Amino acid sequence: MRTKALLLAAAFAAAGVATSMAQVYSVNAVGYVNKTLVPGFNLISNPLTAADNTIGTLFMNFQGGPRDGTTVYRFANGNFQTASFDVFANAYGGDAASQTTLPGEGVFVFLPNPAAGEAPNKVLTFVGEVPQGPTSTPLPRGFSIKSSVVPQAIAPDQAANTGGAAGSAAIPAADGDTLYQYDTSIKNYNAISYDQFGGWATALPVFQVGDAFFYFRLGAATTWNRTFDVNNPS
Amino acid sequence: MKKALLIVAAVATCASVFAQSTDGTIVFKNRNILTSNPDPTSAGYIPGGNGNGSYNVPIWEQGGAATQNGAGDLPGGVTVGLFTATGTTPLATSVLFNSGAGTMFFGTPTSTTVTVTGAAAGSTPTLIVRAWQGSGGFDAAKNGGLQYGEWSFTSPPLGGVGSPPSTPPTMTGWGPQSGAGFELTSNSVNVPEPSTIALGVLGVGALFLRRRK
Repeated sequence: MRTKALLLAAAFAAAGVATSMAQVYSVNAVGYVNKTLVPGFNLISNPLTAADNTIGTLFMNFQGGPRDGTTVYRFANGNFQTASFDVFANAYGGDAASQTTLPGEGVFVFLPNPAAGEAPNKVLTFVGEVPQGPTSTPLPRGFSIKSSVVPQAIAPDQAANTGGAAGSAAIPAADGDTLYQYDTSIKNYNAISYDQFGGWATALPVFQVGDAFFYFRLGAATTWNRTFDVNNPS
Repeated sequence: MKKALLIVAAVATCASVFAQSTDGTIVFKNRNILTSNPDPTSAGYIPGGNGNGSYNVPIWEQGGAATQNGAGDLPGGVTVGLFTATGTTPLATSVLFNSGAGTMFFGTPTSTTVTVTGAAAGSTPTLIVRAWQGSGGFDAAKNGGLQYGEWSFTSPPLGGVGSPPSTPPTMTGWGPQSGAGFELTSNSVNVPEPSTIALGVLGVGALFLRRRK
């Protein structure tokens, strides 16, 4: 009897362990990011992979709706494509409206001045999934708008791989590369160049989640690679 | 009278509106300056001294271009400043590396984003680059027999103009696009040689002795 009871207890314990081992953890990390935009130009990124990453959809998610005349500037092949919001159409029109902007990229957004009695700033909400695993952001020769591929406040030269991946995930700067941070308060840029003799002229700033920057690549095109794992941050 | 006051007020308002234009920006550095046509896919592409659409403006010590002697290791070091055409205070300065292989290049800092006070974004002002040996400033070096250099150029359109705002340009237009750079120069200062002084003393002594006799 005693032996039977012990065997039963052992069987229940084994079953419990087996059940706990069989639990399924979701590797997807879904969330939202609120980004505050000020009147005038804002250089921002889409920090999450949304179900629909087209500009005409992403930039509808302003709290209270987009302001009439809000314009998104997408930089492609050395020129800007635009998408402007029309309050009567309740939609964005223009060649950029059907284009996408993905994590790691960026766009300029022009927020018109508020109407009388309206708060000046607007909050734009991004909803989607955190990019995970090996990622690769192209850095073409010349100018492009770039951002951190994962939603993390970080200086681009301080990015690290996670999930046990080895190696540096810093932006692969080369002689003559220049990073341009847009400052909404002075409505102009702070340019920081990389020099083979001295490295970055000054420490790169920490870009907040949803920020973007202009990057000038002097040499041949390359990629900014980073491996990221939400569940294993080391 | 009332009409005149209204006109004055209107003119003043217009003037203040026009005065609100944003000052433009430029990146002050002497390496990897873009040529006037740095796009390899466009007609008339200028590869520049670096062969990739950019060039350097090395600063050599006097007579040092042929021997590739950078000016940065001169005694007291060399500072380079960016000035407006009428300004006497530099908008920004950089000290050349004082050792190693890059003594002809900006070291501290290697580059700076400069707001050109009084020049609107998109404008192309005349700017002056001055370099001077030692810590006394440009005039002190020029008048004190130390090495110095001065070069003016027409700026490319300054950054901050347009929608969205343009990025600040490099110092395109300053220095030869071949990358040959510039040599510093110096002025001779009339310092009496010891033998001249000795001759003078002898002469005075001889005169003194002759008068005593």
